[in-house]
Amino acid sequence: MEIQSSQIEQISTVSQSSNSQENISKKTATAAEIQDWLVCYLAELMENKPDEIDVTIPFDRYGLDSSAAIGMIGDLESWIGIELDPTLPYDYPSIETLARHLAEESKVNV
Amino acid sequence: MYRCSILEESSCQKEEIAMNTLKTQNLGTSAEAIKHHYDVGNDFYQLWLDSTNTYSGALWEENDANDTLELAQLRKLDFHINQARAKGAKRVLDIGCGWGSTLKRLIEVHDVEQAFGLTLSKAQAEWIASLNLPQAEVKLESWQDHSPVEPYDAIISLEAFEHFTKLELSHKERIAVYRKFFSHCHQWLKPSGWMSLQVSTYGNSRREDSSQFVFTEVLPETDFPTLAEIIEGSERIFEIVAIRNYRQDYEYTLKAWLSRLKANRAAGIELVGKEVVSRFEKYLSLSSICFHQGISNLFCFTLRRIDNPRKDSSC
Repeated sequence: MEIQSSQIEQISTVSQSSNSQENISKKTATAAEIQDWLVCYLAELMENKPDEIDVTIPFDRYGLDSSAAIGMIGDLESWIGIELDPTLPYDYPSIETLARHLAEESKVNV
Repeated sequence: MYRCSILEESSCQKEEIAMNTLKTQNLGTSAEAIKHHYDVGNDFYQLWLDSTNTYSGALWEENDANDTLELAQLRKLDFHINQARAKGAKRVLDIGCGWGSTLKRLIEVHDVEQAFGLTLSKAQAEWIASLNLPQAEVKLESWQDHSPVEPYDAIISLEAFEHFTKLELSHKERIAVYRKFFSHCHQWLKPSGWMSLQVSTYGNSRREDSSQFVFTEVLPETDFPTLAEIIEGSERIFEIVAIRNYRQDYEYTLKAWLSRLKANRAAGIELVGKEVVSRFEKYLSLSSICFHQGISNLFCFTLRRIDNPRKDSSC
């Protein structure tokens, strides 16, 4: 996930989620729910069908650069209702591993 | 301007003449570009910086769950003050002094008689003036124009180095600026004087990988050096006594700032608007990834003035 300026403008990042911080309602999301959300998000981003997204493939193989990763985490943060580190997709680099980790975090934080 | 010997003056004068022919003036961040980033509003920065208003990477205590951003910033200031051997000194210079936290610490905790700061930010200079520190003197000027009446005992510079050059410079121009900077510091320091520097650098990355977003929208006319460029810029002028990479500490600092900004998002939007808040959130997020991944590094250098530099045109 190199920093590629050409893709920065394509994905709006925190600006999309910036109005929703105060409206975040904390929810306990299961790994399956988070995984579904991530599959839909990536499918829309990549203009693919959800069933074409492989949850075990690393994010960078989908062309997700650092700006796109920040956008994804910002939107996920708004949906899941807990503050998320922008570096999470680097420590948990696939939909499956990230969803599993966040489900655990979500339980702890609610 | 202070110099320690006739021989040394001759050597450094030659270097200065050579550098001036490369027109190193104004190759760094302009006052307008500084204003774009640092003069967004002192009250905005107060929302997410710690209470000391320190805007550079802090040094965190490993495995201490009770550590705070403020403690980590004070630890960082004390580290540099110690590295520069500035405790109890008569005159200490801070190049790129931000909102004055180093100057304040030097005077109030480390018994420094006079602390001098340079900044290009009017908002920062005004802030420091309001701190009521009679032993502090702040000048709104570039290091390139600085000409002290007396030498300094120690010099500190925290993350100002990134403003000395711009992305588009050639390697030759860049090194010329860095050597000019170190030559100036050499001239301003007393014999055997020490300097402590903190600089963000390229890590596992190349200049062409750098983010256009960061270096145009957030910090225009700015560029990181590489570790090798800092070494090339300082060799035979300063002896490097210690180097340490604190990139993880910077990652934690950036995440602490980001968290505070998010927590104060509504107040930030009220002060500076949604676009500016979004830009800063994206910048802090992107930077935390860069330091997390080692794309960028944060180096601290402890440097000792070489009192008898090699007598040739390159000091």
